[in-house]
Amino acid sequence: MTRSERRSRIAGSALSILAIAAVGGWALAHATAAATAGVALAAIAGVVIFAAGLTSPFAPMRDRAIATALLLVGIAAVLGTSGQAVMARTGTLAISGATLFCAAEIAARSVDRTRRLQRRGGVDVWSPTWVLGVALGSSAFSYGAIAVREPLSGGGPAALAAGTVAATLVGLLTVLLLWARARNDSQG
Amino acid sequence: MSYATLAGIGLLAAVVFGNVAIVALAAPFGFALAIGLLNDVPRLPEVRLSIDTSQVVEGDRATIAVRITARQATPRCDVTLKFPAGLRPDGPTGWSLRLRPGSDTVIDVPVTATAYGRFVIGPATTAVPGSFGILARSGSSGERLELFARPKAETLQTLVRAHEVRATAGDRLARRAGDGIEFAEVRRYAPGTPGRLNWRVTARRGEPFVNLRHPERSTDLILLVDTFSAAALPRQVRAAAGMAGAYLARHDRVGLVAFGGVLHWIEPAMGRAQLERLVAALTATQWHHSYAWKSAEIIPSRTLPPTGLVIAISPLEDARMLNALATIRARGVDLAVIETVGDPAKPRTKAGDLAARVINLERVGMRENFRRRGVPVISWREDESLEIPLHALAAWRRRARRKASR
Repeated sequence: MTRSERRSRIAGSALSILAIAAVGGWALAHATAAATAGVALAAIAGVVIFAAGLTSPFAPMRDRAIATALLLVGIAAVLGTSGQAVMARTGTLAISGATLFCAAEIAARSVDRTRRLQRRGGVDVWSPTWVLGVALGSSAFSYGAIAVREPLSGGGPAALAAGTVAATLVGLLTVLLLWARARNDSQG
Repeated sequence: MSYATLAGIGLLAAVVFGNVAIVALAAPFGFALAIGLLNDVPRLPEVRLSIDTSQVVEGDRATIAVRITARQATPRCDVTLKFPAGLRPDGPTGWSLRLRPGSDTVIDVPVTATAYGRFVIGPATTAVPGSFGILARSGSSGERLELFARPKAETLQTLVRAHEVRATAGDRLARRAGDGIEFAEVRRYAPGTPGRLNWRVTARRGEPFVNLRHPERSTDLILLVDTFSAAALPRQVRAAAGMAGAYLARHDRVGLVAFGGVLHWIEPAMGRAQLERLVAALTATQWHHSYAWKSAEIIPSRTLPPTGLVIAISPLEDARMLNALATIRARGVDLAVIETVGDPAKPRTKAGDLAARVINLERVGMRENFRRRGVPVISWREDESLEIPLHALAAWRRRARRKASR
């Protein structure tokens, strides 16, 4: 590993740990007195497991360690925001979800560099715009969807239309998924 | 897989707890999963491996060419090549490439053989990851390459000769006088005496005298390699390969007995083909852990000819080897032992020091026992050239011959 690769790996790991710790801290800051102990425990355990997952002794189980850590910090975030109003909670969890996703991607791509691979010919190994786009886009979409849920919950033609659109979208997505898998399998 | 799990757990928790806000937490993972599943993963490129040479000497370099041909555009393709222990790649062994359709990329990988042996390289592992690593294609491609690294043998000047020579021609001067190049003596002619008439002596003495010469004959050498010790084996193999090459170059017959966990032998023969046979056998010689009692009695007598010289290379640590040496000597075979001596560990305690002294005394006694039976045991330290024990062995045998002739 060259010096720049090592530096990049350290920076990526530190950034992802900081991001996940920030989510945990934020959850703790929002937690009610009753939930503080549980939130703190889940957040600390999550950050520790995440950091451990990035070290070489845990390399064989890295994916599982990172997933467990994300789950624990997610539980901390859900518990921490349980006392808030619906939209405030949704906003907090949407931002937490985006941050956790970015942390996971940064971590995965940072440790990916440690493999003894020589990169040639402008290989696309790191696209922050793409990751940020997915994180922010999905969070904004889910926040928006939850926000319009309240006005539509009373029923009526608007709710029917929204429900139909949502069902059509899910159906289209399923068809697309199946088609993509079938195409991949036939080419493999 | 992890993203699918996280997204699934989030959605399930939202349903179970009736808390729709949890969906917002799991949404990015679900989206990444959907994008990853929707995106097409390019097909694996074709990878071919080739090597510039099939044989090297230990310590030498070979170059492996990895040719990657893509059939379609591939934003990222990871190609990894694993090397067995004993081959050291002098550069990266994995490459991450962006491939254009129809492009042909050739990567040269220099490798150094750090040990002798027959090595298999390849096939290469290829992986093409899709978006967010959700889907990926991976597989092995490229043929297996074989590289044979010969043991690095020392060039030897001093060679110990057998007491007896064979009837066939070679490079060794026979002790008896006869027909050859090297002058031996002038002898009164008798019917059947070989040699040419010496006119001067004949004219002076008034009866026929002939010049006798030493004939050039070949000898038999059998290398007995102890494979009971894993640590000393590489050194013994290198020494045996060096001696085999040197003796065969002088038109002697050389055989091999590998005695250890597995017993195998090659009957003495001469020539280039025999050298290749011996080197291949020596390279394949391995240490096998075994408690089975091995005896030299099963070695066929043709492998240990009575006129030949058997040079055993051994650390003399295993009782089975000591017993085998005694058996071979009891057959009347001319035997000499080169004892490979490693760096002794320094004892840290008084008890350790005492144990080391007892072991040392036992070894001195064992060497003396062999010497009493007419078997010289010459120690060969790790930092020494093989010339040194061979020189000492030749001197010992000269002295012993002089004593015997007195």
